[in-house]
Amino acid sequence: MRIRHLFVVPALFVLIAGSLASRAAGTAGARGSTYLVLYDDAATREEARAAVSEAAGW
Amino acid sequence: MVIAENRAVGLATVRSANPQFLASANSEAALVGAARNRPVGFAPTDSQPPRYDVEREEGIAAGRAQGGASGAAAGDALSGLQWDMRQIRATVDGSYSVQRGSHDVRVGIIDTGIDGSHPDLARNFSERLSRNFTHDIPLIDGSCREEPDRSCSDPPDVDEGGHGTHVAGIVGAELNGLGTAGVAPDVRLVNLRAGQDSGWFFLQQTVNALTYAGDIGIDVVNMSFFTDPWLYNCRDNPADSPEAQREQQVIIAATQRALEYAHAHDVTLVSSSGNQFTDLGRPTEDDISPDFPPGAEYHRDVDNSCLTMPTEGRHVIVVNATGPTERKAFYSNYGREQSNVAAPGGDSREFFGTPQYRTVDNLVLSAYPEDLLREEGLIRPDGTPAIPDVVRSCSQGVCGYYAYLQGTSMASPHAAGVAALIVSQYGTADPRHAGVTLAPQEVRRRLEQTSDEHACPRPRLLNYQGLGPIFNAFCAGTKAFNGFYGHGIVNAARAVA
Repeated sequence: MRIRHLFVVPALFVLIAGSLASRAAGTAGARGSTYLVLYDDAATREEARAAVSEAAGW
Repeated sequence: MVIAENRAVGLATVRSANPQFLASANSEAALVGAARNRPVGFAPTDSQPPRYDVEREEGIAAGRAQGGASGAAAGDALSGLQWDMRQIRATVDGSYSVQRGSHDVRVGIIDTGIDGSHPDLARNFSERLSRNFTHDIPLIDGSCREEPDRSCSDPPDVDEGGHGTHVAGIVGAELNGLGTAGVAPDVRLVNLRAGQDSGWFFLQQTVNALTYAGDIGIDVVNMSFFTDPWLYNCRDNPADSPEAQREQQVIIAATQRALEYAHAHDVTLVSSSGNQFTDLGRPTEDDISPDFPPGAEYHRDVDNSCLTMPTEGRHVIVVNATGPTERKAFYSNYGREQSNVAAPGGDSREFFGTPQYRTVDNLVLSAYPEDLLREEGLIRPDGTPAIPDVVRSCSQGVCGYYAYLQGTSMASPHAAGVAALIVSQYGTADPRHAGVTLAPQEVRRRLEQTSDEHACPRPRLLNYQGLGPIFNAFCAGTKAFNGFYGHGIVNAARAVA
């Protein structure tokens, strides 16, 4: 179910949309990607950070 | 490299050039999982959808009371337009005569920010405690050069989205003769900004806002949002890729940890139920997720194992929305499983067949940033509002601006404001944070027990005239507790009596 189509686009969004194309190309892909990593409750911080390093190949 | 780490929750932001990072991290025993950090590295398709869809409905007309200040003798200049405060008895002859809140009680607004310069909020706003956990993302928030402050690093006293200021005004706009008054007009307002200007709320920012709230002695937080990009987070939906499933598992687990942390630090958690006119105990489909990057959404059949966060997290007080006649608002989610209380959120579709149908009279009026209205062209050069959704109030040479909005986003801060009154009235000294504190369980008990019980409509299947059958909603339960009103409509006067 979508209700979104019933509602007006705020004027601010028109401004935002116009600026997107010029900015998008330069933001993707540089210096790798970023990730969110959730540590296991049972692991110590050191163990978790070591696991992150292992996964990242550092 | 680890860019940031929230130790309270165990959530880290990591940058890696390893293309197999997700698979590798998800196989590590010391990690619950990893998810792509959505805001970075994605290009949008073309244009952005609006985020405040229900709040700004198209075609709303001016109301009869527009431009007037009727009923102001016993309150602020625009109190006559605040049917919402009368509904919950946050009035001069109601709760204001007993308890207006305390500057020692802190309400955290996890939202798009607070305009700390707004003349109806400035005295209650704490710049010292406020924080902005976001950084503007040009992909979705627009060019930094086109920002009002020409920066992507907004200070903690600005709101370039507008939503947060409106919410803050409902909680704690001052009772000062100017404009509107909030539920708790003497409470302390703290901006815990986790929302982008454009209205997206991403995981790390919301988690950081919640743990910070616990650390600094926030008494009540208002959460009028769901954590993007999933409306419903499903752990193992077959329509999702393994990567998407893991991402949703991480969102559920990390958000719940942050909620637990805040709750354990005596933060009362209040959230809107959502605007999808859905029984949250029986969701059936989700076709707006993932809502980032734009255009990535796909249809999923969902069930009750899928969770909207933080709304469906533990310890959260969930608020449904009512309109001026106390009918459940047409857009409001509902259901006995999640609903705790109800509060005014506005309903443009009340009074069908009368001149009041689809007028601003049915919406909630609250503070709004002047800079944003000017940028949107909603104020004329002479300072007068250009549309009926905006009202100006001036007193002694100072003017403030106010906007009419509707949504469960507006309902939740009414309940958060009453929760703040309860802490102000019954709390004890909190020497650790030089404030006042009250256990969230006690706040919830008093909030629910002092709400006005409201029976289900007859017949129980509510058919909204003028809207299609997809809006029909069935109210299950008793007068004492049901899926539309939970324990009832919050009552500020009874809460502090």
